[in-house]
Amino acid sequence: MTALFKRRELWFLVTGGVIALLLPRVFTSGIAQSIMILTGIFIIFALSYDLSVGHVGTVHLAAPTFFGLGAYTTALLGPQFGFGFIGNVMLSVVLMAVLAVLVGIPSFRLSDVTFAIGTLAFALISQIVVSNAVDITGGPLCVKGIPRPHFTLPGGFEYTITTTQQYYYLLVPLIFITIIVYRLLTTSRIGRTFVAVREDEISASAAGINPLRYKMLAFVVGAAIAGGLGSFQAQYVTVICPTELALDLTIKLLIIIFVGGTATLRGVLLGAVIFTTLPELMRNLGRINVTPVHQQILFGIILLLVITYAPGGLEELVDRLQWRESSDND
Amino acid sequence: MEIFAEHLLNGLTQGAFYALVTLGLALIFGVARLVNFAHGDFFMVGGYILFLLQSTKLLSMPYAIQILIVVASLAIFGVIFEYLVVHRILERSWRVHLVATLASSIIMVNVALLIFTSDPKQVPTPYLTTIVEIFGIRISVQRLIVLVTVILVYLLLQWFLHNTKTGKAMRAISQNRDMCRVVGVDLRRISVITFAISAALAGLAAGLLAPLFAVNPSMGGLITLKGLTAVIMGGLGQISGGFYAAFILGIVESLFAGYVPGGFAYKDVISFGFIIIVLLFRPQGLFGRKIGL
Repeated sequence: MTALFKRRELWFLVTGGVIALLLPRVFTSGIAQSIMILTGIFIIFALSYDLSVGHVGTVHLAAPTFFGLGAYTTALLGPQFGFGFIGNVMLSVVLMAVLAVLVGIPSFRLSDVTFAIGTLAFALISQIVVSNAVDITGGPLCVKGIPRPHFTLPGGFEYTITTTQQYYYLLVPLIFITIIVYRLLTTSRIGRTFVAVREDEISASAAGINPLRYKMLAFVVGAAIAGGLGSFQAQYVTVICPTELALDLTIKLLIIIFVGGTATLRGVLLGAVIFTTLPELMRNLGRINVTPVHQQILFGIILLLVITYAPGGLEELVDRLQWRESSDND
Repeated sequence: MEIFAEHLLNGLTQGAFYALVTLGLALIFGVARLVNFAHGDFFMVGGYILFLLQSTKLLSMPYAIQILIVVASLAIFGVIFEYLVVHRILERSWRVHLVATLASSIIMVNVALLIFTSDPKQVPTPYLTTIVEIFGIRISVQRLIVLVTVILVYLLLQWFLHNTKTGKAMRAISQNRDMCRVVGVDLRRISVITFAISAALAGLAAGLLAPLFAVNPSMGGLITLKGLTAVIMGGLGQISGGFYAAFILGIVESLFAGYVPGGFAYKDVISFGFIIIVLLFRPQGLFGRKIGL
């Protein structure tokens, strides 16, 4: 059995974790802390997407849809059932997993290309339905007043999450759970099967692997995590609009994964930090007026250049640098 | 009855629109084995070129010439796209194709947003409001032009694929790429020509149909999806199957919007239903199996 984390990675993660826990002490402003939460959200989001895109190699376009529908699940059902924070997240996780199975079965039928098309259809159609079903979702009027996370601690203590800092500390454990799930899946026998399916599907089937089952597993787990994340988002911003399902998010996720380095934990983490922090910093600190439109053009060009000329991404670059510095092998 | 005929005509026009998009997508898929997720944005670009032609009041030209200019510019645009994006990734995996064309799509959409803002632009033609009556059915001349042109273009394309050397080469590549390379078919040249034709068809669609809708930067995504739906329905990469499927999709959408209460808002959902049903029960396409164009 391979270790869950390599030694080098463990250091990287422990340092990252300590820094993550201390950050709110250093940057106390509300803006800085909300950027940190956004970064955390994109770390989870990108990791969930990378399971499918990086490890099994099936690109799908429905990640923002599962995120958005997970958010709507909490927004619409949460107040009625009164599950509390964990219950809401779990409900979104379960529902999105079921939905992913339903979407995956027909979409996987023919080839990976039809899978991409099927998920694109699912994504566009979900957005249309959510925008038009005004009686249920409020359409473009959004769902407002989603309850904030509320915990009843043993001994009758009531605790409601309200400040940005409290949300941040609520998110950090979720990031760690995601990293563990990501690693459990990708370093075990399942992870090696993922790679086998990605590299050569026919050989993998010849070795007795059912490729469909593993593609489906990665897709469903990714969708479930994205759904749970959507639930967090709903309880964090307390307002959910149809734009949460926008396809634009897919581009951001693809850029994080491909520029960071597909199928590598460190690459995806780096990508997520860089591509959420930088644009926000540019917008908030710099005097340059970078609109989302400029940002999308820039992202598109970077993605195109990276996919064409440097398919390994940053991770490969970091790896090469390290290899040059010291020839330690682990 | 008259209402039914009107919905049917609407559906036929819509189907003609999807057909032009589908033909372009199927050609590229057949020849280059590439699903172009930026294809709908070619339409959008064509729509804005038409808008620019109309808004320059200095040189007011007849509608036919406007269309020709749009088609020609799109053909050039297709060649540029082939050189800048496709050429470098053609031999790579389909994942790379998907991400690269999707990135191109996002660039096009946002550049259009930057230049033209998100306000929809109208590109009216005088034929929109001219109504003729055929067999008791009232139809605008614009729609009549659309239907006739699309059928002519389809026949022309079929003739081209079966009777010219280039067309035959395209069909041969779609059947066996490696063998074509062995016998000395210039794959590069054929790829460029295919992209020019494909984009020109999107340009023709824009010239003919943008006047019926308004042009806005983010319209491409749904158009790509409709084209891909028809491509899947017709069997991946089959020209004729995709062409008929496009009309079926258009007519079903139009009837659904007309007869199901509140159906208009949800008519786009049908394409998803079609994809699911076709993939579940007839993954080889509605019209049986055939390899190549």
